[in-house]
Amino acid sequence: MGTLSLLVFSPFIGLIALLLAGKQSDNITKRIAAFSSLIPLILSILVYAQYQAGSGLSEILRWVQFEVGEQTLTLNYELAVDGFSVILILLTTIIAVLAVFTSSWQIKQNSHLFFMLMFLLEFGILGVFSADNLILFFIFFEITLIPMFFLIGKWGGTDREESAFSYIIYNGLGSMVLLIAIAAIFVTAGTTNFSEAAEYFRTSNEAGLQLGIAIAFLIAFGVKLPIFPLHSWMVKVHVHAPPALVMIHAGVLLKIGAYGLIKFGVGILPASFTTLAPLIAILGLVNLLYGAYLALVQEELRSVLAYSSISHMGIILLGVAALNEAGIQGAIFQSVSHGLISALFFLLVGILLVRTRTTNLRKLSGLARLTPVLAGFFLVAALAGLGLPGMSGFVSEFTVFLGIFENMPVIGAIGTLGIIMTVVYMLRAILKMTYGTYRNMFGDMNDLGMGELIPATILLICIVVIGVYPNTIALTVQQTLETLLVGIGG
Amino acid sequence: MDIQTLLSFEWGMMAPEFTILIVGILLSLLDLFGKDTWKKSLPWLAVGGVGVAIIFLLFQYGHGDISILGNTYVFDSFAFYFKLILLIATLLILLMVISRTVQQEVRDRGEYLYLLLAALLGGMMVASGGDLISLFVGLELLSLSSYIMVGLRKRDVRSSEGAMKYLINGSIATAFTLFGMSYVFGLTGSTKLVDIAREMSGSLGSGEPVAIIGFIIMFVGLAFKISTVPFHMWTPDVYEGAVTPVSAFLSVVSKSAGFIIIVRIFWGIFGNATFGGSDTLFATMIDFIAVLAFLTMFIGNLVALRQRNMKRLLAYSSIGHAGYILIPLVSLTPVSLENIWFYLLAYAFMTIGAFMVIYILEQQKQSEDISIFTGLYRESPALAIIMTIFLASLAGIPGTAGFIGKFNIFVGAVAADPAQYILAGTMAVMTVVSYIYYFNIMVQMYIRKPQLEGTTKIARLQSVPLILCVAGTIGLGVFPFIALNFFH
Amino acid sequence: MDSLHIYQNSYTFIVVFMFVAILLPIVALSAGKLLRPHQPTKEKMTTYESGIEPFQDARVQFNVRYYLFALMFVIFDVETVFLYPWAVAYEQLGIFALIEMLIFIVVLFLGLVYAWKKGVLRWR
Repeated sequence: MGTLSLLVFSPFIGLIALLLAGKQSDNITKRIAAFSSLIPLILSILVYAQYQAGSGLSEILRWVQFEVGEQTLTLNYELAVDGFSVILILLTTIIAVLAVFTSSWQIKQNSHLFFMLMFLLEFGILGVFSADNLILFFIFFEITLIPMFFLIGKWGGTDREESAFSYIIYNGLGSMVLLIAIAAIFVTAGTTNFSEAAEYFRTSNEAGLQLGIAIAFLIAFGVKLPIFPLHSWMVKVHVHAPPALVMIHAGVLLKIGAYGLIKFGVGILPASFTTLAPLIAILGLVNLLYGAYLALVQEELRSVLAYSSISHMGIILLGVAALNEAGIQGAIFQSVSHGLISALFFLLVGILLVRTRTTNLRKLSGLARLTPVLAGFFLVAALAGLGLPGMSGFVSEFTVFLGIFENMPVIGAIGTLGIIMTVVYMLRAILKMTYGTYRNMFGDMNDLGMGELIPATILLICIVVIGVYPNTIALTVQQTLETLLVGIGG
Repeated sequence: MDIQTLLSFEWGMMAPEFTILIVGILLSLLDLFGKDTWKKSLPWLAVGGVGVAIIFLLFQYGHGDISILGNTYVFDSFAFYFKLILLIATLLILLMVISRTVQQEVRDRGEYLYLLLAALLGGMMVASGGDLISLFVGLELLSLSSYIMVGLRKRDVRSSEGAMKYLINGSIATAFTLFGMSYVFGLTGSTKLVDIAREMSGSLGSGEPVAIIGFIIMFVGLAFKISTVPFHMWTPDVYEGAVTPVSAFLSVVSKSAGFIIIVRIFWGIFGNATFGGSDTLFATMIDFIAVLAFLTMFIGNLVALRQRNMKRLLAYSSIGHAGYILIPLVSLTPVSLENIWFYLLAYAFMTIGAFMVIYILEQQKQSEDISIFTGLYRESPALAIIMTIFLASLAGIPGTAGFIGKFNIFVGAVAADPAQYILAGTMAVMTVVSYIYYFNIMVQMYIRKPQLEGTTKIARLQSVPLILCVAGTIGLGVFPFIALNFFH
Repeated sequence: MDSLHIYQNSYTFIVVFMFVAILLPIVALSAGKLLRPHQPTKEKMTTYESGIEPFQDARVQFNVRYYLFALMFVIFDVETVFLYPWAVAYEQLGIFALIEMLIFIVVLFLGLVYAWKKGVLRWR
């Protein structure tokens, strides 16, 4: 068993520890969960270090064989990482640790089951980013569905069951479309390994089939990302799921969509994606403007953040559509940066909800008077979200627009409108909440305690480090980017 | 036929069938003449008989093709693999029967057991039949035993209703099947599959329309058995009326036998018949089956959404699954048979498992409503998790046998020539629809609170079939190559 | 495919017979209706029961045991029907038919034993 397998299966340590401990008192359960959530983090740092050192991490094990006529189709258990996935793995483990820590004061009921499902979810996500063939990717992708369903449905807010079902239906449809696309690749290319499939499609000339698969990918990952007409589930999840879960959901799960589009879409079928680029660009533009516009009129902080996520995902799509070095690099940056920023936002939302039980902007008006530090953090997060230079949001948006202006200047020009709107809605929402007229609805409130300050600071440091010194990511993904660019032909 | 030829047959190949037959007769005699104290151990005799039959069958692994009595009984790899499914499923169901805690449910306990064995014997004859007559007799043995088993709860209205509906529908289906067979016989002048296939491989000429009518009528008759839409109406009522183990039997063994006879007849006969000079007759009739598959998946899964009675829900879900299994029948790739086999095997484990959980809860709570699952996680976490595994498998979530089965079918459908994208797409969409009702049960188990505080205990005997089914479901999901390699 | 034409032609006879079978009663009854005189009286309208005056409702419930006896009878009736031709053709059929017939009788015997033990033969 290599380091990578160890990492993927490491959340099971926590799961089994909780299972063996049985139903203990809340404190013990939380302590076990917190400690065992550190194990994947340590292993992921190890993996990162090994990747940087250049040692091979890939693993392979024979799994299933099909014989269709003369063709033998083989499925393997194979894991590998590239620059993009290693960063997302690191992001996952960091956010998971923070989510487990913060949920320990947010989750009151059945914390035992909650943490077990969280670990199962982490297992699925780590598997998604470590898988080296499409089937394995799909298997882990589906495994994330079940814990998410229960986490939303059991610990969510008012409309929790409805949100959970809407989650499972949309994502189920997406994954079934993905499964057909994978089956098509499997049958035509005879393999589902990423690099082998990419190699096969580079030489084959079944343009129609390739385009069909590319569209299927766009739909499947479009549900996850989400792309405009397929987004309603994601708003529900943002609003009704427990904030600690949304940290993982907005921070990492949505990034599976970006990861899939870049790694499979652009990686395996570059030719078809070049054909689809204008469509993707328009979809990205719609996402950007539609999300920003709706975020402008929301009265709920969580809805604002949900639509802001849609808007930010539009930027990723624009980056993918640009299909050049800057664009894709920007899309990767944006994935990581948005992951960190939305995790920070929902960390703060979780802190707020424990105190006020509402995120209505009107009711929260004048928050700065009660809890200046919390309000300050909200403001900083908003600044990061609107792309203030010196923070990660700026770097990613800048690179994406650099890419898109190179290929599609008109779309880029319209897109900048979205950036302006981002500034407006972010500041409107946060200023209304923090500096509006003070209504004194909640009585006295404690400001941030030590346990809340530390996670928020960690995320903030990450955001600033990437903003000031983007090479932390750029150097890691360089090689991946070059492989992708060879495929595009740029 | 003189005594020498009679003795020259390899009768040993029929050892599994003989075992079941002898145990069945022994059971009936012991039930009639035995002392009451013996009767407690009768079910174990049945289990032992099926176990011995499995062992006999496994010894035949890799044996060459054999035919006895002028091709009426054939042993080939097809018969071997599918008989294995029937035997394993019946073994699990017998264990389910043994585990029951409520004794008053069925009075005539002996009949229950040897009717099960008789039905199993019918299914095995179907698997090995090489002649239209022996196939038909096997099918009828299975059907007639099933009719009685459904009606075993004599004082229950639903049971009688189900048995009546099943009998009438089944008889109509039988008539259809026979009528179709008569066309095929009229066209070729033989009832032996080998002879029919040889006759049909030549040009049919003006016999083509007759062959098509025979094909359609026979398929309609057999479609009753596997409950495809629009011949599915009996299924929910019968499943609801029958005792739960019998519902499980109908859903798994009877359905498998239906698929076996369909594959045997339609691939064996019509797969060779040339039609219009180029294609086989079967290939030209694919659209007919494809439409049935589409309707079956569509209606089965959609109607399941509205069900509150668990057995009706599983009945509609089993209709949906029948639609999935029709896809490899249509795709016609070299992996089709393997796909059907694997899916039926996976289906046996997960469906019997789900029925077993329902059976346990039904006995404790005296209800079949979906509310028996409410708050199950708090009452019995183990049972809730086990049920989750079965539901996940039925829904096709990775890590379970159901996923591998579905994935195989997808691969087969896409690999087929021409590729069956519409059927694959329908299956995908309907799988998502099925998520809704399967996950709804999970919502009941985990999210809702129980109405009454209490615990649900699993007795030791009840845990045996549960553990076997869980092992099968997970094992085939994680190590599918064990079964797939075994099949090659 | 000559045999097929013969096969299809033989259905013509069936069709002809079917028409005759349908037409005959229609013609006979309607002709009778036209020819006979029609003078109903009260006595004539009562149910005909071989000259006896009708004394109860036409729907009578039979004891269900009659059906069981009838079923038992049918089984053994069929057995005899099956045994006769076998006995006549025994010389040609040989040992194989003997074995088959023995199996058949054993199965029937088991059925009889079952019915006997279940109390079908006793009139309660």
